[in-house]
Amino acid sequence: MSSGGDLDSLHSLDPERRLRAFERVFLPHFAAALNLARWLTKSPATADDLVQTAYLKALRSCADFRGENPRDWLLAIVRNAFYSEWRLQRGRERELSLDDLDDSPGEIAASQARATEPDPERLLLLANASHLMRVGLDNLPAQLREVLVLREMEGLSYKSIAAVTEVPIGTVMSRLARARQRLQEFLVERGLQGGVP
Amino acid sequence: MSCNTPAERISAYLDGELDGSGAAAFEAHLETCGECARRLANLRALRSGLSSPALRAEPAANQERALRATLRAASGSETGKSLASFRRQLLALAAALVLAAVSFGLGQWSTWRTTRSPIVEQVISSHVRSLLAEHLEDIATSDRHTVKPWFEGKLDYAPPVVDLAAAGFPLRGGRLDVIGEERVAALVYQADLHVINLFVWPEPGGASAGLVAQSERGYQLERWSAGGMRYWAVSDASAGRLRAFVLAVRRAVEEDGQASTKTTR
Repeated sequence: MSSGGDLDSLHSLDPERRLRAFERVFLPHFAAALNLARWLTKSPATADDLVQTAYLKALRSCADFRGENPRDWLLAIVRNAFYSEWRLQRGRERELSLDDLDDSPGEIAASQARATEPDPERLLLLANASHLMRVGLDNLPAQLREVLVLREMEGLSYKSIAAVTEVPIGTVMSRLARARQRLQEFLVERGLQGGVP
Repeated sequence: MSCNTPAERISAYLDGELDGSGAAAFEAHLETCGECARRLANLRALRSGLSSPALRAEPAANQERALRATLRAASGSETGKSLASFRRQLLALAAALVLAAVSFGLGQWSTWRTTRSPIVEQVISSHVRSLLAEHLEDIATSDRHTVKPWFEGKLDYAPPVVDLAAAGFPLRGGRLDVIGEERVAALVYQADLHVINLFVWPEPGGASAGLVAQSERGYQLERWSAGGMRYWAVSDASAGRLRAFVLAVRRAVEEDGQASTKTTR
């Protein structure tokens, strides 16, 4: 969290002072921003561009920063930059289907009934096959992939994920559950097709 | 399957996001439910796989150096721009304050406190002006399909106009207003006995920003950015009421956006 001094400096009109405060507050979250960007763009190369774009936007609008969690604030900008420009320019990201958008809590419980639970030890083997996991993640719709990345790789609380993705906590909860279920189904299905342990 | 525990509950338990009693109840349930124990074990297996360093994009040393250089360059080139825009805003602020002083008389003026953001001043004076001059709407109608086209030709962008009557905020109409040097759309909504002015203008660069609430001289303000637009809502309604309004706007605009993205893009 930034100190009050940094906050004042971020709002400073002196560019040098502002830049130094900006670097102190936001550069520590470069790795988190880059990782989120990688999983949004599905490409390490374009992730770098997206992160640079996002940091420039953050620098331009840092007068709007009011001492929120700087990591969450920055990640929200990365994400918004991706949805507002990146995806429109490149135009290939899969849209959520109506089924994906159904955030009602009962929906999963009902659909859960059809899948039988795999053996946890076998799933552990599948889940630790990184190439398989990578394909599985990339195949998830972006709105499910991002919550999983924020939770499992960046360790964000539901509250922070809600702040970054601008949805209610209940929606975070159901998207996470759905993302996990989808990923599990993917791994089991691919595992059955052979090749992997 | 005998157990119908929702996946959300198991998932939230794994994440430590159930409250104390919820977690205790689920743990008690786990003692007797092999099905849930297995589902939880599978979520742990996924977690183990997802925590692999092989999946993380780690920054290379030169990436951070490049970023620092980019930021420094941008910071330098923006100095002139931001000073110029600061001067412009100061001029606009001075104009707004003169107008406000005339409207309110100098007695009240002296009790006013200056604030950091000139835009706050302008939004409030615009709101006050709209109430004082009985010039609330240029076009008075509760039909958003009349209000939206009315702005065409008057602005070089199409402000999102949403119908919030169902949420308790009927649309009264719209008018042109000026914030800074920009002509902006002002949408007028009713909240019980209070009027809410919602100002909308395009934001170059378009970084989205979350809600920021502020209270100035008895007026409540909320601002945010989304979809390339900057929004300011101002009212003398309560902070809670304005927040409810703003959430309704954001939801409706997002839904509209999703609907139109499907048809136009």
